[in-house]
Amino acid sequence: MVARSAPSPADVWEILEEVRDPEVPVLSVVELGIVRDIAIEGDHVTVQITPTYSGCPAMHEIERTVVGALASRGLVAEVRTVFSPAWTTDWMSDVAKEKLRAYGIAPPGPTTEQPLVPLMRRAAPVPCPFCGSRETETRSEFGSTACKSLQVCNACRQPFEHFKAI
Amino acid sequence: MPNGDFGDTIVRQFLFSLHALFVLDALQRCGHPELAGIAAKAVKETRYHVRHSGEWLVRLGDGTEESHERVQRSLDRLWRYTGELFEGDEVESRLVAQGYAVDPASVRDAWSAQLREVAGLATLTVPTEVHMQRGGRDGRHTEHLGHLLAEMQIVARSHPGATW
Ligand SMILES: [Zn+2]
Repeated sequence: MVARSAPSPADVWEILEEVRDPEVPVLSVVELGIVRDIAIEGDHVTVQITPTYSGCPAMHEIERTVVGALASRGLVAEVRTVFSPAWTTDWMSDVAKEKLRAYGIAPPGPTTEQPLVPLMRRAAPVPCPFCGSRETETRSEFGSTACKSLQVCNACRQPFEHFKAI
Repeated sequence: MPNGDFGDTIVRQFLFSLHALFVLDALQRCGHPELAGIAAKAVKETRYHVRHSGEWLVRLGDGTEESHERVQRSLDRLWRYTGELFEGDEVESRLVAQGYAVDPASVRDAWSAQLREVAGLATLTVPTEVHMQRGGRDGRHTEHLGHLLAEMQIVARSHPGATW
């Protein structure tokens, strides 16, 4: 069936809830907090997306998937990238953070006011997503993607990634 | 510059990203809303680069005798390229006058003070040499750039039109 009447905002949000982040497939783009706004005009939908990281290689893939998901419901979609206000991990819901933890990635804590040059002012240790211990240490500021750091748990000896608070 | 010593990589990244951080911080308050928004985003990310390279600088500088010597040598070798970080060109001056850009010279003091603080933690000596390499802003580069560009283009040049 091809939709001819204008969809409701709830319809569009529901479709977007099914679009996964290619890097973290347990989260939808809505849970990630990168969909900033939608606008509907007839069967034309404009989706405003803000990048998680400016150089994030997943953004093109996300745009393609968003357009594809809406097109499969007969909608003509356009993605607009907005930079301001800059994305923050605080826009991730608690449910999303718990999904991340269950997936084996330590979720970001709340962002805190930091000095411009954050050198040598390390935050509290990141709890291990596997055993919950705080006996963890940072191995590298950058993990498999720039948005994560590499940690190791000294209690269960499991290495893991931490989605950095930004 | 050829790849090789990790000390060179870390010192270069620290000198540059610290500069970028101060420039982007000021750019957040420029008169162009979109540019200011991009800068606000970039500040968050650049801080990680400063922390990453800065902590390595301290670890290497205040590490073993060999790591200290090598990273000090890197700082001495790369110092001559830092002068140009604070030079603008004519286009930039026009944009600064219109409130759309940051005068690179205006971040020099903050950059220098922060560098000295980190160098202190790393037990490194900041060079006092005043001769600075110039020309990059006018498109005159060292011979290394040609090799670098060739290497970065090799896949696209060898497989025209390739997609993946
Ligand atoms: Zn553990």
